[in-house]
Amino acid sequence: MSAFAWDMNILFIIFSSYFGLQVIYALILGAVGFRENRQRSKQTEAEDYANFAISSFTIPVSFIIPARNEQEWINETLQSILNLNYPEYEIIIVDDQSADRTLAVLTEKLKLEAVSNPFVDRFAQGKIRGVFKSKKYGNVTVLTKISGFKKAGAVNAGLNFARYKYVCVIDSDIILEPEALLKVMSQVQKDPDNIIGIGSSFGLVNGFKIRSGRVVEKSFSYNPLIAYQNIEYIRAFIGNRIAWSRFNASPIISGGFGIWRRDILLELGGFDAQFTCEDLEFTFRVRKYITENKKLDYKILTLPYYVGWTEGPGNFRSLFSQRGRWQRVTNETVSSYLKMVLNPQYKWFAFVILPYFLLYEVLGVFFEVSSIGMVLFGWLAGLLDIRMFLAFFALMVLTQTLISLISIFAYIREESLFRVRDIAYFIGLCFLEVFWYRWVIAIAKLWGTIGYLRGVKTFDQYVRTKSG
Amino acid sequence: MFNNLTELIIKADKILFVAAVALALATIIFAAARESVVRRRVLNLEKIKKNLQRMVRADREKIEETIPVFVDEFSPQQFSLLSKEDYLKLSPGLEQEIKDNFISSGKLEAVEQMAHKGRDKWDRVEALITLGYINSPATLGILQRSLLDRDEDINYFALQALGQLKSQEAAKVMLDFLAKNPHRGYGIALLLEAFPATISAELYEAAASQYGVVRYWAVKLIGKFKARDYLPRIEGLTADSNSDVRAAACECLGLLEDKEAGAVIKTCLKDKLWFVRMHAVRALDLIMGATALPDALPLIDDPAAKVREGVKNILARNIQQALPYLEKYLFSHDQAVRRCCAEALVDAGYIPVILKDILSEDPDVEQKAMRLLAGLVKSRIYFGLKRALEDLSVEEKNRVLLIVAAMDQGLAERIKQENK
Repeated sequence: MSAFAWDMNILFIIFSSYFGLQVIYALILGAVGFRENRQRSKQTEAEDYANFAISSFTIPVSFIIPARNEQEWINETLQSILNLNYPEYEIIIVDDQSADRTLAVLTEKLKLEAVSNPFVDRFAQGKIRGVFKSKKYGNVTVLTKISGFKKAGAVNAGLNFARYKYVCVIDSDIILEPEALLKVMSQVQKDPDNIIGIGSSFGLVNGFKIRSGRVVEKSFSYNPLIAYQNIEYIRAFIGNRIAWSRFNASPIISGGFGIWRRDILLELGGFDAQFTCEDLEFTFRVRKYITENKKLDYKILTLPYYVGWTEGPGNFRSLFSQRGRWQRVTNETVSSYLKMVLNPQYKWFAFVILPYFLLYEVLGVFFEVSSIGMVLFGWLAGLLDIRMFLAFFALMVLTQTLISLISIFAYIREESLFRVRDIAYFIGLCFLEVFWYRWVIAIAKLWGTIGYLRGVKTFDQYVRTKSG
Repeated sequence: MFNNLTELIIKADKILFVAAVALALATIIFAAARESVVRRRVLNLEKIKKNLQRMVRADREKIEETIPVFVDEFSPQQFSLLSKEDYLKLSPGLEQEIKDNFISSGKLEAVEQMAHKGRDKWDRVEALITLGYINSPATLGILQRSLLDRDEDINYFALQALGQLKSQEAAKVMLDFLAKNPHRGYGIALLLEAFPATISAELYEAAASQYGVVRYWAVKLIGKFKARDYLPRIEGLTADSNSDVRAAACECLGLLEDKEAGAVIKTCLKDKLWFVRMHAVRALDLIMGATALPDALPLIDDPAAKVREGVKNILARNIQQALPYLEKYLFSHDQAVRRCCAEALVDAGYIPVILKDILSEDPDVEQKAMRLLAGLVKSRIYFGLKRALEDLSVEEKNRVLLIVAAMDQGLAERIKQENK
């Protein structure tokens, strides 16, 4: 029995160290994120975007929007891109064999006309059945293709038709801010020879009022499920991604809104449909490419600007499906690039980012579930007194709360998007997260991990409601 | 052991709890304070805007009285905000008077000091932008010095401020800066594009710079300014040692539609780098139109797709003159050449014409169309035949399909199947 208690002690020390490390990591990254956020925010304040908006030397961009069963959102998303304040861009929408009215909505809005321009399909990931040009907007093309290669296949199909130096891949349920592309591309314009990828933050549209592709009222949803997701977005972007970007070590340019230089996309053979999702794996692949080809001046940046708004899952089932998918792709990607961990060639990426991914994104769920399982078991088996049980549980609650609060503070220091009452509400939720939301996500992650182990690679699309 | 561990965890809990509560309170207090500051700042700005709008509409005498009071309300840093007020541009005289008053109010020295030696980087940036807007006698010197600052933000915004000066001197400083900072090319070109065409003389000088990147952007800008006086130097740059410059020179000559440049551009068609050949083909297209065909056509089998695309565009834009060539090249052994020809016919919207001509009663017209269709069918490239057939009557469609069947039974069958 004493040997058992001794084992429990060791486990306690491991779990406590895990949470302690997490807080130290969050403090350091929070401070870096804070600084980076401030710098970007000051740059935005000082920048005169009027020049960019009219110049013929502003770098043009090709948008690719993969769409599958997006009848609810595609119209608003497209309109938000058409509303962009940017001198030159083209839009390529790829209908990936939607079973709903997506294509009909597009046909109606764009007045599509079939064209028979020959093309070369470099990727052959689902036959491209039709190419349509809009009679109303000269810069819009719609492709229809046979599905089967997930979002990666649809984006790659669009890539065959992209003409410009930079390609912006966005989800078909994102409402872009009118200045989004100007803000992001003005950073690219500073060094287009070396900036090969760039992403930026986006938030949840749930609760907003949208008209003609514009957000007319930003009222954040007080539905806890949505509010927690908002906190998670802030935590992910400000607490991690912005800070990683400071060290030129961004491990992901989100598929929701991500800009890549076209030559890099083509050189690396486009996105990989073998993975559940394409964005994380592609960024890892680019990292590998940069190091192996000694292109060490190349940069992948993440910016803190809210470039747009996307619909977050509005119910448990959808949330479960989304997070399970994210977990699967994280596991797939990390296991595929495991050789990069602690490999000195990859510097920050090998010593900070990948170990973080391994410890917190891949194995984190096991630590969390087993730590709470252990104290519960210890308490129920009479090995632990209630004081120990509560102390350990409080440690979990407080570390998670502190990590969220650091990100929220770093965020609101520069952004005045949220009202005081929204922030107070978020803070209240932070203290309660470990009591329920955390476990919903943990179960979804466990489910995702099981899916990964079973080799599931489907892209489970959750149902869009547009109701928030 | 457990007891010790428990005590340790409880201690950690206490620290974390205090930290969390303190951070939560700090966040809420900060957010509330910020909300109030932002509200006040917005109201302040609204007031300034209203005053400005009033002044734009006011009488001369009243303006003279109001400006000093108005300028007095401004902090030196706030002055840069005026540069973003578009409606002030409607009254350039008033804008200049506000600037003059600002200079005579004695606030300029503070801005210059800040721009030169400010401790906070972002205060310096704001001061640099204000200086760019005011354009005092010392501005150019301060901005020029700031370009040498090691901080990327300082030299970037010094460049932006120089962009506001829109003078020949500023253009020269920016082009000199470009020589050592080639990655700033796009940004500098973007700013110089908004300068008056009088900077063409500086661009002309820059086109002879020892730095390739400066020559490149100078040529690009000369093209944008349509500065035709400098054509001989641009023509000379088609033989530049830097391939980017050669390509830009071809592009520029095309944009300027320099009829005399045909000969030098033709030499670039043989350049070893594909993007020079691509720009040469495009320039020939713009300058010579259909008469460029004999020179451009040898590049129809170029290894670079973009060069072939340029040739295709000349063919498509001059389809009538191109038909004799297409009849020949559609039967080429090279798949890429056949594709180029098919694409030219499609882009020119010529497929329906071919189908119509096949049914013509004029044997010459019919023969020519038959040759083209045979070439297209043999090319095994999808060229929109099915879609073109949709515009024909049932009888015409059947006749065409019979002809296609004689050339390629399989293709005709496939089209019939798909129609069903």
